[in-house]
Amino acid sequence: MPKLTEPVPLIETRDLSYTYPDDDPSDDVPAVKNVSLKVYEGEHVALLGHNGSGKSTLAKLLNQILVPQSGEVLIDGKSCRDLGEDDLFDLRKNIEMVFQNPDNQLVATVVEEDIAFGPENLGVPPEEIRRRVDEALDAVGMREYAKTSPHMLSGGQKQRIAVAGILAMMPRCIIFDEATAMLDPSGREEVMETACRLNRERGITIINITHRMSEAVRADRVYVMHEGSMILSGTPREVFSHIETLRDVALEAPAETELLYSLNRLGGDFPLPVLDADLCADLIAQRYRETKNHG
Amino acid sequence: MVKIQLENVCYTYGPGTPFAKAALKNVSLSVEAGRITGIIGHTGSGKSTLVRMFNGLLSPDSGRVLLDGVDINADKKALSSVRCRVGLVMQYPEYQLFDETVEKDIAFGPRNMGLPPEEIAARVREAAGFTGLGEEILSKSPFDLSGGQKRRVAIAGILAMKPEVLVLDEPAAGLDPKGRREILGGLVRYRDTTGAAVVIVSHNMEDMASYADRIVVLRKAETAFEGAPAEVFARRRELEENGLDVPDAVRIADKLRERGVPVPEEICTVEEEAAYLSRLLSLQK
Repeated sequence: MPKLTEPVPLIETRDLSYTYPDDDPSDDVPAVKNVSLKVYEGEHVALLGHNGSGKSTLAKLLNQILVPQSGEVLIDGKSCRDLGEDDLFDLRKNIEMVFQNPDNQLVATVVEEDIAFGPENLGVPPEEIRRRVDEALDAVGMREYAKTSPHMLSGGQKQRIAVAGILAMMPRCIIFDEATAMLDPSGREEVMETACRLNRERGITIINITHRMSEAVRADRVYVMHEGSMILSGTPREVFSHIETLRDVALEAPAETELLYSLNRLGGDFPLPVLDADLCADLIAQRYRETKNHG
Repeated sequence: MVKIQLENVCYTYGPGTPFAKAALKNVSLSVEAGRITGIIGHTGSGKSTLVRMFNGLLSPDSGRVLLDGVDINADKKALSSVRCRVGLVMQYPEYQLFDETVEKDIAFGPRNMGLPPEEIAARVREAAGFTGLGEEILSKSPFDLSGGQKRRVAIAGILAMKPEVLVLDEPAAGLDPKGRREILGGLVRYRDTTGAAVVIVSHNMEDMASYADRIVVLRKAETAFEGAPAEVFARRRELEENGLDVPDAVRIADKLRERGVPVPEEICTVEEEAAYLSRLLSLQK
């Protein structure tokens, strides 16, 4: 009897590998190596890895911008391998991307026209486009800027417009490829808050590629890549308990865990990982009171 | 020693048009030789305009920019020599790489300065060294490198001009934690070796806490306040009102103080915090 309870992942990769074409094929190093993962509908996933670890290549494989040399990507359990152009086009609508530099992804001179660009290209009827644009603006909290020119906006606002433009195409999954890297702290929070809310309230699947551990902590699952391979995966607690492995691959843990880890190396015995500043402070304060009472 | 001084600098984009926007209002600040000055501010606070004042890419509507006490905008013909003395690394400088090899790309600046070939070759190697690029990289095409390596090549291209003032706009944006440490560590080594004044614009409060000697906070085209990192990050509420933030270590220290653990306000990096707490808790190996 087949198990009936196992849901079909929205995105699955099986043994996926990709090597960028090069003049000299003899020294080719695969950018993505035998990666297998499953992302379920409604999940919020963080993807970590140092520069050049293969994160962005993997993202481009997931939404079929790149075609793997071996292995396969499955959307809703259907392999993308032997699809024709039309089917690929339909599949691609499920997964959209937000990139690092907001100025490179805004196309129109008025915010609402920029958001309408995607659905227009999909051939959506005009009344429906109007409805989608308004809804997308509401979803990112930018309704009052509908008639504004994008270049008058802050970085965080521009990224939210980029997100709205993608929402108007109604994807099921949004990949944020270091979308907060160029933003100031409040802009980063605006974009993260928008992503988390879309995930929570609309069940949109989020894949967040980031260097910021404080963002990864907010995900349901964290994946870590190194030299093209997936080396760690699990809940944030599981992944950030491997602090030495993370350091070996040029990453780090969130500040709370880094602090307690350093204290443990100096003789402390704090439980790891700790991903919450209040808990971290509670643990240290408790230890402080004990020290005072004994000495 | 004050290296660059801005005196009441004002600058407005599109003056006399309906879109006129004041980008700098009466900004006065000084940058010292041998120190790293950090500049933080919300998007649109005037950071990028300020950066362009330092080497005369923009000149103030009113006010003066003094390099070693001399107004750099007094004699426009002297500006090209100012630009050799004040090196400016813009955001995403790797997009500006163009030459066939890394060596030629780094050599572009010193070659334009008219230096002899041996001197150029020596400077290229020294600059590559500061940014952690090995000899084996020099003969490669810059377009075959990773993003982090390209960034270092671009910065080395400015360091090879041996500027007395080095100004960088978000030099570590988009890099992983190790890449950030390598680039910023290289700037510290450059400062230590040459005694140059270094100015870094960044949105990363952890980097500012770890590397800056002094931090200037810009708010709506004006300097809001400035001071040593600990002084600046002690004003958490004002920073947050300005769309900024404090480093994680300061956030944790605040929570510790709320719980009665005495943590001094000087502490603004995780390393300092761990060292202090290990003594406070009498931890022993």
